[in-house]
Amino acid sequence: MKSIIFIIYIIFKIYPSHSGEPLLADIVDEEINITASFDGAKIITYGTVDKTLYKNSILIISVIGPNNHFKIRKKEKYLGIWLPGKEELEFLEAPGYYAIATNKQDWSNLDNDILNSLQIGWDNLYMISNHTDINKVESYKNYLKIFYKNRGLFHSESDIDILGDTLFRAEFILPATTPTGIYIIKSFLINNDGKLISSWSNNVKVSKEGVAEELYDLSIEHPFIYGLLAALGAIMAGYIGSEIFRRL
Amino acid sequence: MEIYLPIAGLPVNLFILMSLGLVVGFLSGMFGVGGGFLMTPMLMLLGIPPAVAVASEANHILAASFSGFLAHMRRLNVDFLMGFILLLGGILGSILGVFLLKYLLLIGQEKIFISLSYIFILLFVGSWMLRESVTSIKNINKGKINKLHEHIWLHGLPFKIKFRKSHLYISIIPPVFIGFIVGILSSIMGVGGGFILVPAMIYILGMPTQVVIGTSLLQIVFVTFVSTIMHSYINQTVDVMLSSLLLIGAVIGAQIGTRLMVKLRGEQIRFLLAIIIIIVAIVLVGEVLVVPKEAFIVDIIRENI
Repeated sequence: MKSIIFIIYIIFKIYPSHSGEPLLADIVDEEINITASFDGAKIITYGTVDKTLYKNSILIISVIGPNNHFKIRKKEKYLGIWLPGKEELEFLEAPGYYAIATNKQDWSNLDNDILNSLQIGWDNLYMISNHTDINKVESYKNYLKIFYKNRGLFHSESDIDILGDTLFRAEFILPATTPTGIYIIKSFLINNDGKLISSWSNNVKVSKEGVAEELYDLSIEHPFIYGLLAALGAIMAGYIGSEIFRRL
Repeated sequence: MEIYLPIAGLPVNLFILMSLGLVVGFLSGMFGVGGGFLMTPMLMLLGIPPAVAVASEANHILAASFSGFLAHMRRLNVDFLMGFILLLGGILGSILGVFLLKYLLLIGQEKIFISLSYIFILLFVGSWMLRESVTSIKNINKGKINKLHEHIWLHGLPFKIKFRKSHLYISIIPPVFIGFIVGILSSIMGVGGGFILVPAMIYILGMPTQVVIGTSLLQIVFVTFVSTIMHSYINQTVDVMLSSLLLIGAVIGAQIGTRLMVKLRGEQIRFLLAIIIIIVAIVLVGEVLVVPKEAFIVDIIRENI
């Protein structure tokens, strides 16, 4: 039932405006809110591809999360204990989330230049680091990828579902620890010769909301008031607790 | 049901959190210890960042110890003068501890530092409690031995004051020093420090046992009050969602614990508690020694650039 509504929704939303564009894409939820009961979410994207182009081309969708400043340190063993060591590298700007989906898994055969210029695939993602040694940057980029994989912040095995000849749909899972900010969803239609036919870009905003947001904002913007309230709240709770004890 | 902790930045199972509060609250009602030394490593094992675990636990202990303090104050079991002397050192120590944690966060060594402090303290407390409980199980029929107040050289230091409630005339240097050490521990480990204060007040200061618990709670209330505010202000690491959820379980747990205490044999449960503490310590030792799953650490310095 849900999928029927979904298809009808797509047809109504997209078809009237389908005026010869080879690729169109949209997002179901453009705002994702991290509330007190948040345990992850999905970015669902859907769209249409020109029927005549579809068979001879590859559709790739990538989701790039908001940029963070990271510091990565290698662990070293001192006296049998694993400690963060001295060797380190910083990524002044690197996406906090990355996912890629495609309808054909052989996209890696495509020309490197086009993958690079479109930032398709982890290795082609644009990151600013504080080091110039390419080998070192590459190996730390790989650490970051393992870190993301272990936390569900990196997905590369997703498929794009094709409905009929022209409609497509893809889902990207965001874990509960996903960073807040703007996520850019880029859809690319690339022909078999490795040329970009068309591209489309959408945004999703992930933000904290409700109690979670208010507490977080207060703790950052007015840390002293937050601390005072936390302390007084605890005193109140202790008093109430002791009154309950006395009466029971 | 999962609940999202805004400062820790991750969801935790509500049931696990409440039962953790319940169990630790139960133990604290039973033994008169705050339970922070058990709670903080448990929170760390749940995946909560150590700095957030420590700061939120300080906030949790504030509530728990204030409720205990009120009960003791009603029975007039508090030596306020001694409490305030301890506090002189305690507040200084807790402020210093917060800045020490800030420095550790800055150089990125807070996790290992907190873990090692815990391993050391837990092994120490666990083995001490194990030995004590085994001895008292053996001596159970011989009756209590009341230790008399002995005058040691520490009491002869300058700045002597008369503590009426504790029947003491001693230098203020040892209590200030003890308060200072406990203040630091409270800030960097998220413990109230009762498990150190209580024996120190009995064996080092020579205070009568009946005023010790209430007086140590007075010190804990003030020190955790200061460290809650300082942690929030300096490090932004207090997660009130976390501390209040722990509290709900803890209040109920403490109530059950206090009631059961009357019915059960203390030394046998102390023996079990000692075993639990030593197990937690061994798990932490394992975490430090085992080859890590990830050979690197990723820190987020700034979000959303």
